[in-house]
Amino acid sequence: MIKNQPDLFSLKPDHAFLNVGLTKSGGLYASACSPKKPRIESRLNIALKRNLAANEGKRGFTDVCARISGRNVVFKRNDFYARINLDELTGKASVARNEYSVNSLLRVIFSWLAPQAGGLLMHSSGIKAGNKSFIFTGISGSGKSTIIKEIKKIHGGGRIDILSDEIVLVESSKYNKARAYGTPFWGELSGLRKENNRGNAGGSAAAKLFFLRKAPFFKIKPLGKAEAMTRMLPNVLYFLKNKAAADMIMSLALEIAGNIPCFELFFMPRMTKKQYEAITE
Amino acid sequence: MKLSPNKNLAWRIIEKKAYILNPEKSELHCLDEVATAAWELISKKTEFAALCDKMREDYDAKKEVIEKDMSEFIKKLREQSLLE
Repeated sequence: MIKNQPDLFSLKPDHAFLNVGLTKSGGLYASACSPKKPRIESRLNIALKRNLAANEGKRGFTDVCARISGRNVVFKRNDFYARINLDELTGKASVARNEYSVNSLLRVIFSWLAPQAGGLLMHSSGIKAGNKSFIFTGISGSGKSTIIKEIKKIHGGGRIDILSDEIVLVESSKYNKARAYGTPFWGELSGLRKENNRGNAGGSAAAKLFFLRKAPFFKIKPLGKAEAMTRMLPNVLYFLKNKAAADMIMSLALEIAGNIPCFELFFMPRMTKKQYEAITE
Repeated sequence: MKLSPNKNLAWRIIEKKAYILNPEKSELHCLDEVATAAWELISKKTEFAALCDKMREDYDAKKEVIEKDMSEFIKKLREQSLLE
C-alpha cells in the first residue's frame, strides 16, 4: 500500500518533494516523509504545471517515452516529464496539474523502481482471503474489475480485502515464495480504495495467480512455468526498452512464475460460491 | 559473415524452447526445439555453413533440406529483427 500519500494539491500549490519507493516490509509509498531504511527510494522534486497540454484537454495522451540519457533515466509524455539520476535516485519532474497525470507519472516511476527491488507491477486485480493473496491478471477488458465485483457479490456485498482492481505489485520472496501487495492504482472500483488500503500493509503470501478469460463456462486450467511467464510478460508495466531492462523483467517473471501456481481462469458472470471456493482453496 | 543475435534481446531457454523478448518492439517470440537448437548455435556466433553442418550432424538430415530450412529460418529471424 502507499503509506502517508499526501494530497499534492494541499502542499505548496505548485511544488512538492516526494519520496517514492518500496519499504523493507514491502509495499509502495509516495510520501513527504521517508520510512526508515526503505528497500529502494527515489526523491523527486515535482513541479505541478498549469500549462501542460493535458490540462487544456486539447489532445489525448501520447505513449510514454522512456530512455537512458547518460547517467539519468528520462520518462516523458505530453503531460509529464521526469529525469532521475541513476546513481543517487534523485530527480526532477514536471507534471500537469491534475490527478490523472500525477497518478500516471507515479505508475511509471514505480514500474521502474519495483524491479530493482525484486518486484513487478502487473495489470492485475487481487484479493486477500485469510492470509493469502489471489491475483487476477489481464489487459483492459479482460475482467479484472468484473471478477472483484463478482467476488464481492458472493460476500453479500460486504467488505472484502481488495489489493486493487487495476495494478498489483508482485515480488519474489525468500524460500521460493512470492508476495502480493495492494497499490494506490485503481480502476473503476477506486471508490473502494480507502477502505482497503488500511488492511493491506506489508502484503501477503501470493497463493495463486490467474490469467483471466471471459467465457460462457467456468474452468481453472493449470499452466506450466514457461506458459505462465509468456502470459505474464504482456501484463507487466515497464517502459524502458533496452536489453538490461528486458533481462531483468524476464528473470523476475520467470522467477515469479516458478514461485506461484499459475492458472488460466475461464469465468462468467454470476459466479457461484463453489466457483469462488475453487479459486481460493 | 557470422550470424549472431540482436544485441538488444533478452532470451531464455526453458524446457528446450527459446523465449526471445525484443524490448524495442515489445514482442515475445517462442521457438520450437529444432529452431531453438539453431538459435543456440547462432548465439555463439557462427557462419551459415557451420550452422548447417552442425544441424545436419544433430538431426541426420540431407544437406539440401537443412540448408533450405536454415535459410528460411534465418530469413524469418531477420524479418523479426532478431539478428544483428
